[in-house]
Amino acid sequence: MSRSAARAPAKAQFTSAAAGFYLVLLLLSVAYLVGSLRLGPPMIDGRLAPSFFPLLIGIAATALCLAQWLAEIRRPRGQADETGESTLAAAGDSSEAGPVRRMVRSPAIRLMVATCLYIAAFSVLGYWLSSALYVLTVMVLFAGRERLLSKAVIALVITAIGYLMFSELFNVRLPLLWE
Amino acid sequence: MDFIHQVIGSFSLLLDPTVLFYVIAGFLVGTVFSAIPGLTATLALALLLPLTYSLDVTTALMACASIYMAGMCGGSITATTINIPGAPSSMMTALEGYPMQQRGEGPLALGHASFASMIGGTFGAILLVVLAPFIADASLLVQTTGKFSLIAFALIVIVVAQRGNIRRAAIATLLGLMLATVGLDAMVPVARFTFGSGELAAGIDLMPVIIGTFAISELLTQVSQRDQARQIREQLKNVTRIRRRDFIPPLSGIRKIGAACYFKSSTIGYLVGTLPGAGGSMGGFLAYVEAVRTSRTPESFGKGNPKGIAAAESANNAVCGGALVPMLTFGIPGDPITAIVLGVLIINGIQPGPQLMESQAELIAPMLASLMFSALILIPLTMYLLGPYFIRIVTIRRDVLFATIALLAVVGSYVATYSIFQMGMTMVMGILAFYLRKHGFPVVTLLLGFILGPNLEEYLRRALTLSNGDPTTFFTQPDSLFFVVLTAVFVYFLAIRKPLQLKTSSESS
Repeated sequence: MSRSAARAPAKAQFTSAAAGFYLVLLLLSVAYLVGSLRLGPPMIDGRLAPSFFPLLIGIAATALCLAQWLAEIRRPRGQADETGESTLAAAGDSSEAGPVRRMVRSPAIRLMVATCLYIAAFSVLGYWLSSALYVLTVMVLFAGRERLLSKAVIALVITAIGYLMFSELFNVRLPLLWE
Repeated sequence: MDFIHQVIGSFSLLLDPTVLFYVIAGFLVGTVFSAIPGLTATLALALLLPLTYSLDVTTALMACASIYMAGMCGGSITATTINIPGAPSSMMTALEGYPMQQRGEGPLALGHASFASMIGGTFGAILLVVLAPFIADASLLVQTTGKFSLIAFALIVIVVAQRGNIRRAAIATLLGLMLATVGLDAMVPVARFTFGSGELAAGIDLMPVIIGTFAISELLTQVSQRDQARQIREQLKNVTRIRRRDFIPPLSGIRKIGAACYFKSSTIGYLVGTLPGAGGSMGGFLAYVEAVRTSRTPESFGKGNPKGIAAAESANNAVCGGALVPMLTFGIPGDPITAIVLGVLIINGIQPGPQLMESQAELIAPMLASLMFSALILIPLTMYLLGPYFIRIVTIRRDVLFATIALLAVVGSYVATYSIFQMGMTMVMGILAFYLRKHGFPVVTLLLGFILGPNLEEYLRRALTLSNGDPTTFFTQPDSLFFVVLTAVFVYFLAIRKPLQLKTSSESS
């Protein structure tokens, strides 16, 4: 452990990944609560209005997310939380790479980007082309770039099986490049 | 009695080659998915969900039942051979199965696991068939106010069951409830949280939530765990070849375990299954603990005692029957699998509830027949015929496996509505679930919050309208009071009493 990490047991964890995520949840809850308030009064003529239930949920979610975020930022550096996750691990302090580079290198982020691109290209490029490229990308993300040609052939086979299953067996009309 | 006859009569449906094909295929897919660490039968069901649009609903429900049963026993394969449970429900099996594997009795351990799964699964299914009609009749006594308290009870119990993680579970449940409020209000035509989008006006569909939560988030989790998969493959290389005849446990071994152990463990599993949020892992754990407690040789456990395997496996398979009770009679799913089965019913316009057993008996009876068929015939048959190969299936290429799952998940989310918007929504739900899981939030509570949210709100508003806004109605109506007291009891035992005990014991030590 680095000297600064060892010296700062009482330091608040504003920068850990967990604190960032809890903050996002807190902001979402607050936005939901504000949205509920804008739906109108919770009771009209003694009856519950459409805003009543969202208001209840919004208040509860905001309170709990705030408590979760405060607990995280007050947690001493390096101490594990109730799920066993350490702030050092959560923040990824062991890695020397910067947060942006770490994010770009993360296979999960790459898979997210690939899936979003696939969804965007699905109706434009049609099922065959977009799916074959997507399947190949997922295979590369899971097993690396070795034996790319064999992976490409397998990707085509998976795409064809998918087409047969959805289109022929279950009568789903899949988008095609030229219809 | 009529319902029992209908279930017995439904076995004839299995003579139809198409139905039999889907039931067997479902069972095999469920076994393979639960055998591979990281994959679950829940994921298999989530991938099957889009196909139910094109499939006959009876066949779809029968396939769901066989996947469910397979999911509870398939995990024992890797739990025994490499000490890594393929599914959480097989955690206790690993404790006894792996030591047996180490002394060359792995196939015997798998044979005991398979036999116990058969007993537990059949016992749970029979109890379900016999008791469910009576529970459905009793559930007719629960009125609007009581229905709110019942759903609140289910959600609270699911949250407090996540010991040591209650705040996160509560947040995930609230996120599910938030998602459920998107769209037009059910009682007054007011759009809520739609941001002017016509596609959100009808609310968020169940399909993107299920596929996103269980398939996309699993892909995102697995893509980061390449090394772990390599380790498992290396470990499997050392597993010796297994002969088919080694799987059959000797009668003397079964006698030594004793009928009482099978019966008691199955009963524990069934009862645990009826509780919201408990699941197969808790059923297996409690039955295992009970087997150790009542054993004359408790020191033999943990060193390869087949009785431990029998207790855990018969209990986790009996959970299947128990977990379907609240789903079929009250429309309250207790775990992710029953939540997806509920999704299949909802997608086909069937609302579960007290009347379901009467009005839709022709749909429910075949499902229960399939559950029984899977337990009694498919579990032992599959283990005997395909057991030696299942161990090799675990070594299947991950890139091929996950690329196929990714394609099925993303295209599957398109199938329901032919909408790119639904695909996008699936991705959003998948990313949310991935980060929630990464930070220790149980996503099953999010799903149950989403599914139960609309009914919770509807019954709350109806109950308060009926009582002219008087909230004491939840304590004065007998049916509601029953569930309020039940909630208090569960909260006391799960969230208050246990931590106090732990605190006391840690202070004394």
